[in-house]
Amino acid sequence: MCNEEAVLAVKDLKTYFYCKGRVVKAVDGVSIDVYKGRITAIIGGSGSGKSVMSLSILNLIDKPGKIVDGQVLLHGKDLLKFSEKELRGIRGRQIAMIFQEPSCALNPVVKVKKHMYEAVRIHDKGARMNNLLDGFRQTLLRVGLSEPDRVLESYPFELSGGMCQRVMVAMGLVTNAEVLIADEPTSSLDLTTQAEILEELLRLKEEGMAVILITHDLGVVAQTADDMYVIKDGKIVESGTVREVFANPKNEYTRYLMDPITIHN
Amino acid sequence: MNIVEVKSLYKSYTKSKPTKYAVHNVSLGIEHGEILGLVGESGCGKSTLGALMLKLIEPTKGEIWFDGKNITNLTFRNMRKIRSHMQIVFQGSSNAFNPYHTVRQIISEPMDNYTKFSSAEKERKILACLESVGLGAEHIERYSGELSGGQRQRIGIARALILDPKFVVCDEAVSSVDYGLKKQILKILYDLKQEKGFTYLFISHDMAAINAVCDRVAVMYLGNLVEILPSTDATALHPYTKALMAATLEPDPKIKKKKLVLFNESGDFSYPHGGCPFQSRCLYASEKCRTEDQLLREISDGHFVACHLI
Amino acid sequence: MFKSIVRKFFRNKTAVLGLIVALLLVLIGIFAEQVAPHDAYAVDISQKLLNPCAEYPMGTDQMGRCILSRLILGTRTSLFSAIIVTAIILLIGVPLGVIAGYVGGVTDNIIMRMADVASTFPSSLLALAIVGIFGPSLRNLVFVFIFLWWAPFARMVRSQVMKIKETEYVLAAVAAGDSRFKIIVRHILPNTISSIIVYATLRIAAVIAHIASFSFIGLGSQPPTADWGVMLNDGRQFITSHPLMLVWPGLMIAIVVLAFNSLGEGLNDAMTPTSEEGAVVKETGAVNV
Repeated sequence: MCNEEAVLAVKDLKTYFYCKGRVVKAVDGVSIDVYKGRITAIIGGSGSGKSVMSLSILNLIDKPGKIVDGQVLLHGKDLLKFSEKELRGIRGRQIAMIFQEPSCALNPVVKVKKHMYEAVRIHDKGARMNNLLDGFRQTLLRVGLSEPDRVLESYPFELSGGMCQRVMVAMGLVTNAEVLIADEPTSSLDLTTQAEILEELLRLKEEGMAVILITHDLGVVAQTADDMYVIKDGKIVESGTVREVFANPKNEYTRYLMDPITIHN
Repeated sequence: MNIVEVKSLYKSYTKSKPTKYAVHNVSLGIEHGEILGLVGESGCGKSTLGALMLKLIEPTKGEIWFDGKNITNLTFRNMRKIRSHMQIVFQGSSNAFNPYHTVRQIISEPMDNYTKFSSAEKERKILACLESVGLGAEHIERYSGELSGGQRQRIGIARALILDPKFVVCDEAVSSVDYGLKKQILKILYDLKQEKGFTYLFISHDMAAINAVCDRVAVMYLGNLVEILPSTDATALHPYTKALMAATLEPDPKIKKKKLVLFNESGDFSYPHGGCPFQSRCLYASEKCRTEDQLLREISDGHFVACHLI
Repeated sequence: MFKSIVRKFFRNKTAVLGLIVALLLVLIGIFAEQVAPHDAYAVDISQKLLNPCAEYPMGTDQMGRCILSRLILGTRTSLFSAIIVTAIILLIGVPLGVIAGYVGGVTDNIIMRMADVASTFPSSLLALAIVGIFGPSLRNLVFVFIFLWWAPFARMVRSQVMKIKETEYVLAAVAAGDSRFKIIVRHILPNTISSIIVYATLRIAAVIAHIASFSFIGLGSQPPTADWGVMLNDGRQFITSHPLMLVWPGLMIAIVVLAFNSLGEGLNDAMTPTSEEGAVVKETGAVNV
């Protein structure tokens, strides 16, 4: 897909869930490459394992789940071999993550500036709020929040869903993350807000960030992504650049997803 | 003829002054046998309007007509006599069903109230209804918590349609399901309409779903109707509808949109007092838009717009 | 559904222990006379202030009465008055809470103002006043608790009902043509019942502790009644010479309160629907549509 070296490479990842003597192979041998300045889409239906995969990248899988095999290479270093302490340095700092429901990920009684400050402090204990505020304003402007001062002093519940999602992106940016994992970032948002967030992701990509976009919406993929992987039952069934795949879908499931909804004429 | 019609309907949830309306001066009729789409962003009052049409909640002002009768002031008891003709399908959230009821209890509830079927007859009806939404006898003993989102969605449809109502409100009925399932459910709804002649109010924020099944589309913004399109391929005129259409993503990388956002993003979201509800986010708002109220006007046959600029 | 609650409850060891202790105490209370080795009221000064021995496993008090027998009879007094108080506040609080929450408006206002009045009385002051007027007795104390404690109960039920009233399944029941009565009985009450049970269990523990403390200061049961609070009071004078006289009833109160509390907490945990199984299913999509 790209000749450059991948920022993040997932190699033959297997995450299984063990419940009631059954093994559910949520992710079963998935390999993906993520490049700088490109948006890589992971597309699949509900229960396809796409979210489990994104959690596996940051080693956030809890019991009864377990990463059984595979590697997650960030600049060639395997994250799965890192200790919990080392991983904490990676999460947020080098790999940022945003979720479907932004309001759930932000504590409603903590001001936005405190959220951003905490994000920085995980890595830089000596950081002082007053020295950081200018940087925060710049970052908020960068993610398209035109009144940074008001936003910094707001509580998450005072902001709209789209604004919360932008704050989440901004929290990833203040720590200069290289990779952004966006897990269904727009599924719970309105069309117009979805458009705002997607434009944001495109802008971040232009600035050189590597973005993993997890979604079930082919429209989102077609309009924003560069590379895509179609995942079904924990396995990649088709991959390639978005143009290639859309022009010539080889897998039956991909073709099914692309078949437009036509019921009424 | 309109099966449902609301006239200058208002609904406010709070008593604070100045009054904030979830539904503000809405007049809208739904014809027999049509599927009317109702779009708008979350919190714009579209679900409230749907619930008002069935009188699940009481309006603050205005009139509601059903099947040629004014039902605005009917009591709870009198409403029960006509409820079998009107039903609602909710988003298949876990809250849509009593967690202590099995699928059988859920679906048979309307029949218990309106029919005198024997239990064998009810059972047969329930099975037939489950089958029509693509589920089987193995689901009948399950609790809603044991069902997946897509199954819950279809149970909701089965509950609404068991009595063959004339009018069904589908409130975000396909919003929480993935693409493949969305197609299936839309197909089910459409086939049932063809077969039994139901009328739907199809509430959604998903333009693709709306375009797939609806005859007409009403667009709502902050409690107001801003446009009624006579068909799904009619050209949108209101700036908000245009923004909505622009934000709809084509699943084809060859038709890449230049710009997805077509309104003032940082605008004030709060409800303006006086003037057009969209004024603070509209790119074209003029002085007139801030001061003068604008009601829906008929631009061409069946196409209504509320905008000073058109 | 019911099965999974039971399974979850029985996985929680402290809660099961609480349940066993609570059941045991109820049985002991019912069969107090049969279980007690001696007559709890038989005074025998010659046998006074004995240390624990084979005849009197927990020793005797200043009147030579068997402490174990008195504890066992005290179970009946404490536990049963607590159960009666809780049952009556249930009978008052639940219907009032349901009506206030479901009907709303003026009715709600009236009921809630009544509840406000009940909750603004400090319980010890009111107890003092009532006892001052009608004389100290367990019965008067029970009235005080009923008068005060229906209010938080009604308020809890009301807030639950108001929440449930707004849910989609209640709206769907309205749309399905249910009568108001049916909506309350079939949809609203079953969904509040878990909180009611939990709250009632915890309330029993609180009533026991209160009755004991009021009896201890002489406002509740009167000597020579076999009551844990009265026994504590009796033991006060002998705290240095015969500390066990205080230890036994104190221990008993602690055990009962702990048992009912852990039972309540266990029920609460078991009835909160967060099955780990469900979480796995959601994560992995193990259930196919």
